[in-house]
Amino acid sequence: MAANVFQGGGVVDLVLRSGPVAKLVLVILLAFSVVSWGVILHKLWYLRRVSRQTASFRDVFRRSTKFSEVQAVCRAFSQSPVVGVFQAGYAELSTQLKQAAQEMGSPGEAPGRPTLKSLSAVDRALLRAAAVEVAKLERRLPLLATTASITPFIGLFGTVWGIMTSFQGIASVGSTSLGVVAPGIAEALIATAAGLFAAIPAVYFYNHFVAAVKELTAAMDDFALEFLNIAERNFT
Amino acid sequence: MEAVSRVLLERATPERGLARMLTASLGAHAVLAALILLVPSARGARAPDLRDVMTISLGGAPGPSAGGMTMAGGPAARPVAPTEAPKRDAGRPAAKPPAMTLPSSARIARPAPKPAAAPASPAGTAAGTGEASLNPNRGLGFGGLSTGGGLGSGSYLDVKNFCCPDYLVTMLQLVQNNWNARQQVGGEALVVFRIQRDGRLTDIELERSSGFPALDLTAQRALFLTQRVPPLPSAFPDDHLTVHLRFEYRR
Repeated sequence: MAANVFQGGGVVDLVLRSGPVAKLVLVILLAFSVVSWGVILHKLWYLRRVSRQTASFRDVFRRSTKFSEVQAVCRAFSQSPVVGVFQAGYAELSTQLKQAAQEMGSPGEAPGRPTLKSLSAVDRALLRAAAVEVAKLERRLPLLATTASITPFIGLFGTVWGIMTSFQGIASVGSTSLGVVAPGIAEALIATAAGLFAAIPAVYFYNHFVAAVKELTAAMDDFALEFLNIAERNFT
Repeated sequence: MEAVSRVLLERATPERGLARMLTASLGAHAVLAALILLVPSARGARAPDLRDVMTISLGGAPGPSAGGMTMAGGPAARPVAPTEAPKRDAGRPAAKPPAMTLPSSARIARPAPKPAAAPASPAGTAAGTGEASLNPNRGLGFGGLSTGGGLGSGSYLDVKNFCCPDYLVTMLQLVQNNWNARQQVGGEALVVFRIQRDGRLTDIELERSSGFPALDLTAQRALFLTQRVPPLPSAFPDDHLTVHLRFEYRR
C-alpha cells in the first residue's frame, strides 16, 4: 500500500504536500545544488583550458632559446599557472640583469656577460608566483567541499523534522496503520534524497578538482626548478 | 612597485565565466525539474484508468461483501491489521466486554464465527480478527458497520474506485471505536459524510433513517466523536472523499 501511495502521488505531490520546514530545506538544498553545479561546470571548463595551455606553453618554452621569446607568447597562454610562474621569474630576472648592466656600465668597464646578483631572489619570486597561482586554481573549491559535507545534514534535518511531525500526526489520529505512517515518512525522505542529490556530485568533483590542482602544482614546481636551472646556467 | 609584485597582482585577478556557468546550472536544474514534473504526470494519467477498473465496496456482508474489500487490497492490509489489533485492545478495554456480554444469540455466535469467519473472509479484514476476543465484536460492529446484508444498500463511496482500501479499514476501525452498537432494537441507518484532505470528518448527515431516532443519533454521534481520521492518502487525487456508511444494529 505504501508503494501505491508513493506511485500514485509521485515526487512532485510529495514535495507539494510537505510542510513549510521541509519546503525551506528543499529550497536551500536546491540553491546549494545550483551554485555547486555552477562552480563545477566553471571549474571543468577552466581547468581544461588551463591544462591545455600549460602543455602548449611548456612545449614553446622548451623549444625556444631565449626567455624574451617565451615572454612574447605569454599572452596567448595567460590562463596557465606556469605562465604566471614564468612571468614572475622573468620579471625578477630582468630587474636583476638591468641593475647589473647599469652597475657594470657606469664605471666604464668593458661590457661582459650580465650576471645575477642573487639566484635565491629569483627562487623566491617563483615561489610567490606559485602560491598565487595555486590560490587561483583552488578558488571556490571550498564551496564544493562545504556543499559535499553539509547538504546531507540539511537533508537529514528535513527528514527528521518530517518524521517528527508525522509521528505527531499519528498521535493525534490515534492509528499506526501503514496508510497513516507511510505518506509522512515518504514526504520526509524527499529531503534526504535532495541532500544526497546535491552532495554526491560535489564530493566527486571536489576530489577530481583537488587532484587536477595537485597535478598543476607539480607542473609549476617542476617548471620553477627548470627555470632556476636555466637561469643558473646562463646568468651566474 | 616591484616588477614581480606587479606581475603577481595582475595574475591574481579572478577568472571570468562563473556567472555564465551559474546560469547554465540553473537552466539544467530547471530542465531536470521539468522532467520530474512530466514523469509523474504520465503516472497520474494512468491512475484514472485504474480508477475506472477498480471498484471498491466499503462493505459487504460477512460473506460476499468482504470479498469486495479483499479484491481491492486484501494482501496489503494484512501487515497492518495485526499492529492495530493490540492497540484496540489497549485503547478501549471497556468497549469490548459489553459487546461480548450480548444477549444469548451473540454468545452462541461467539464460538461459531471463529471457524466460520476464516473461510468466509479470507484476506484483508480477516487478518484484523486474528484475536478471538475481537470476533464477536467484529461480527456485530465491523460487519454491521461495513455491510448490510442488503444487496444494493451496503456502504459505498462516491468515488468508484478508491485507491487505498487499507485507508478505509483504518477509518472504519476509528469510527467503530466510537460507535455504540449495542442498542435495544435492530435496524440500519445510512449516514453520509465527507472526509476532508486533512482527515476531518464534515457534512455528517443522515441519509436514510433506521426508523428509530436513537439508532440514527448513535450512528451520527459515532462520526462526530471520531472527528478526525488519517489524512487522505496522497494517491487519492480529490480533496475530499464522500462516504455513505451503513450502521447496522442487530438486536
